[in-house]
Amino acid sequence: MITAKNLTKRFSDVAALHNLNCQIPDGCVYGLVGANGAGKSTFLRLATGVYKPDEGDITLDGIPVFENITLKKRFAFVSDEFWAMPQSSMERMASLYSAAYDAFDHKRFTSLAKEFGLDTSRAIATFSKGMRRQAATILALSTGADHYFFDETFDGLDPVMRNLVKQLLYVQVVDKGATVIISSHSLRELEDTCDQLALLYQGGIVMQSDVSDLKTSLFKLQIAFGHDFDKTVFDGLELLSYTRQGSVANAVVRGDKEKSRAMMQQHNPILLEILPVTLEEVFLFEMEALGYAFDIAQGGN
Amino acid sequence: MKMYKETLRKLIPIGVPLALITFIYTVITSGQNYFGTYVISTSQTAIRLAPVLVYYTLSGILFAYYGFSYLFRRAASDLYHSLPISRFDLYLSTTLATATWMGGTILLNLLAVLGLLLISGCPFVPAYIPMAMLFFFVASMLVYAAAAVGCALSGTLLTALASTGIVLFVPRFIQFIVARGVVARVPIVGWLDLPALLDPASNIATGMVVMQSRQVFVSRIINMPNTLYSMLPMLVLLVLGAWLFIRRPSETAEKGTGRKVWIIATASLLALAALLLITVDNHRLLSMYGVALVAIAFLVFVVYQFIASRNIKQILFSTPWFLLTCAVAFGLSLGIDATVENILGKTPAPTEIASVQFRGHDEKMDNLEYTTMLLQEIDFTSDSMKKYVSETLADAMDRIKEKDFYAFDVYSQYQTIEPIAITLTSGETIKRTIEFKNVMELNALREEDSFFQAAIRAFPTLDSIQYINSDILLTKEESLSLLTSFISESQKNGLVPNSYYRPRSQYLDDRGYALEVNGDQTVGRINVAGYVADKRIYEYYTLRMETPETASLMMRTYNAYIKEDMFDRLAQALKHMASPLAIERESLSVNLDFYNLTNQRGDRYTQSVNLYISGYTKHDEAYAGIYLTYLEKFVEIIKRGTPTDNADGMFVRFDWFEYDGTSRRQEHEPACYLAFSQEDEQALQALIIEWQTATMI
Repeated sequence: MITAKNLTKRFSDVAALHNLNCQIPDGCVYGLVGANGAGKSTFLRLATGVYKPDEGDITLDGIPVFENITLKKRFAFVSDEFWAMPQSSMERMASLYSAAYDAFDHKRFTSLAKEFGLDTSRAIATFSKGMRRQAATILALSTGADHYFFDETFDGLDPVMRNLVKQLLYVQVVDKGATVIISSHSLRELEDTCDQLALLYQGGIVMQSDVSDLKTSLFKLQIAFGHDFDKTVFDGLELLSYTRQGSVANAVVRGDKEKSRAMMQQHNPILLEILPVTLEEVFLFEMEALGYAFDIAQGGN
Repeated sequence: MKMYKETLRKLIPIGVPLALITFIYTVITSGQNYFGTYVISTSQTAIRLAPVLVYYTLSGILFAYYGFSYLFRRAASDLYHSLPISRFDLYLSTTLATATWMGGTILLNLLAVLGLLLISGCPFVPAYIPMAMLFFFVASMLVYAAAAVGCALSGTLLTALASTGIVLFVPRFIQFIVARGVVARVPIVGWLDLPALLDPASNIATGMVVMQSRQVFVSRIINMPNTLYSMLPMLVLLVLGAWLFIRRPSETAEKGTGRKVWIIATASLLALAALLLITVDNHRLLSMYGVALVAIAFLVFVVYQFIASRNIKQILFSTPWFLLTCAVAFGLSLGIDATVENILGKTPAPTEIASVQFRGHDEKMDNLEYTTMLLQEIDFTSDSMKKYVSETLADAMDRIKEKDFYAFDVYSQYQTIEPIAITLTSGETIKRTIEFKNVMELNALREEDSFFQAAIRAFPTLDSIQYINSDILLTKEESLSLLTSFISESQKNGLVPNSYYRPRSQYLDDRGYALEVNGDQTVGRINVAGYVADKRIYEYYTLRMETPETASLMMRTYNAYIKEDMFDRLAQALKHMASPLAIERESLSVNLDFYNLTNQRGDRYTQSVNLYISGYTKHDEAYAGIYLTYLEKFVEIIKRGTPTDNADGMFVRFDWFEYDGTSRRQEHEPACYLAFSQEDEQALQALIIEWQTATMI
């Protein structure tokens, strides 16, 4: 389990992360969502031992990560910007990776490259942005690590390749018990991929939950009455949001759907519908409830 | 090990081209040197074995910047630091890979030189190869270590370059300035008199830069003390580089020198270097010049910080550091003053002197004379020498203190400057370069020492002489034969072969010419060079009439080259020059040296007559008329001469040179030695006087 405790990282006078706490269980796909500058990349770099925390610590199974080579052999990090040595090919980069990772699997590297349709002898400098990300992913998946960190990796992939990468990650998680941590500024990108989601906002995690819990714990209630009514009809329900247009009211409720429906039926509505909410809406309402302003379209901006 | 191999491979783009370029350059230049005609002109000191390696040492910067290039890109830095390799291993692998490439390239070049030396048969000192190997390797790694420190401190190539320069040069620059201050203010202390800590060449990486402007260091830079001494800063910088690298945050990439302390330290060092310029022309910090320099130093301090941090607040808060720098500069200035005072205060009385060593008048030269090599081994302990040196030193000190230091007598040709080392009874050794009023007086005192007497009359053994020549015309065997004869005759007669140590005294003869007492007419030279142990030595032996057998042998040797049609061709050349057909760029030069003429005092002397005519000088009709006339008159008699090897009678050394500037054709007739009948001898002597009178007009 990866545990961050009071994790703080500053760049000059700006705190990129401030007293961040979280736990990432083994064998899950963990999504980090947040706006640009929220601290996602910094968190991943701290988690992979690239950066040293200024305060607090980040550990794997209770052991600090920074400069711990034994732990880092279990990590593979795909940065938001894949760097390759000048004039190097994937094969050349594989040589660098195999010098670092004892368990680097050349067979897997070759087969993955074939699966992605990448020429391993071609200079990486001639690759498109998407191809570079694929190359970085292939190299990472060949390391034999059991913790994978992807920094906005999916953002540059086309849907076909994105699905291919996701499938490969699922295999790692399901078959090998690997842990995958993915960051993105787009919630939609992570919605159908992650088991757990955390929202980073101004250097801290403001919300963290299982995706399934998030989706089922909130629902939208649309209701209309043949008589005049006010908000008191919802007494007994935990409302996160309430709006009324004419005789129709819309409310976002946290709680059990059936119990809520039964309670509303007691008021004899002429219209009663329970609608699901999207993950983005869940985040929006939860954030509003916590007192944060969260713009769904901008992933938090 | 895996990462080392990987880094070795990574450095191929730097390593291979540099290895190839240096190898090709070395093979070509060494080939020219070892297979060329003028092999003797090649000074085979260790540093000249493969001169390109002097510049190759700078490749340490390239290797460091290429090896650590990932530190200058955030994405690259993150990638490397995300890999399961410790920072120390990353540093170590780049360092070892660089050492392998640089060591391999240096070895490749030196092996190429060794191969060429063996193939060409050129003599060399085998010890120079490992000495040069160690020297260049340490120098290259020292440069690399400084660059590695620069990389570890910086996040961009530019700031890394600046940091490297500062790490490598600023401390040495400060040392150099201090040394320069001492040398400028004490004329009797030269660069070679400075203690090791102030010796600019002691740090071999920067020493090679200094030697570009101060030739005096060239032959001295490769030596074991310097190499071993330079290993220390090399190791210190390598360890410092590792320490900084381990602590270097990955986020420094693309951010220049992020560390506030380093920026201030660098600014302070640069300001200090500027402040120390005060010592260059013997100025004082508390003067107008000093105030101006403080202003410039402050500007440097502020501008550097502004460029590096762009943080006005930080600059303002760092002002106390500038004041501290000024205090350090002032302290160093006082230190120089104290050093100068200390030097000036050291005028040991004769009783305080244990011994005196003369380091040789040619100590600053690229190679030492053989005599100097022997001289340096002698400790002079006589009271008369101690007194003489003590008085000369005290006199020099007095003149310095009076700020009126000048030569004893600018017109005297006997005064000489020699570097000495005085060992005091306290055990301390002080080195000075002082002026002696009269070299004859000095030599007379030195001759009281039997070792000195032997040294100035000694010759290197023939097997230590690797290069010999006397004239381009003569073969090596002929030169060697002359040398053997010269050595034998000199030793038999106890002669001093080295001109510097020969007794000299001149007088004006009846014609108004300055002649040596017991005049020694010169008949030729033999140049020898070689190695005694690992030291390169040379001697220029002047052949004089005092070795008549050798002179006679030389005359015979030259005369063997006489061509029968020599005078016919000379007559044709003369005829051509006299005719209107001779154009401006054509010339004819006839050289005549008349030996064994006798002046009224009875001393023998040599009279040279040079007769030169060209198409251009013919514009001056009077000049041309005189020269053409006397050319014809001299040649008319000379051609009646017969080859001689009698060095005791009157004879003439005769050669001529014809040049056509248009076609660049040149004909140099080898010299020959001719004797004449008594009538012709008288005619020639009369003609010489006649010619002198005519040319005087």
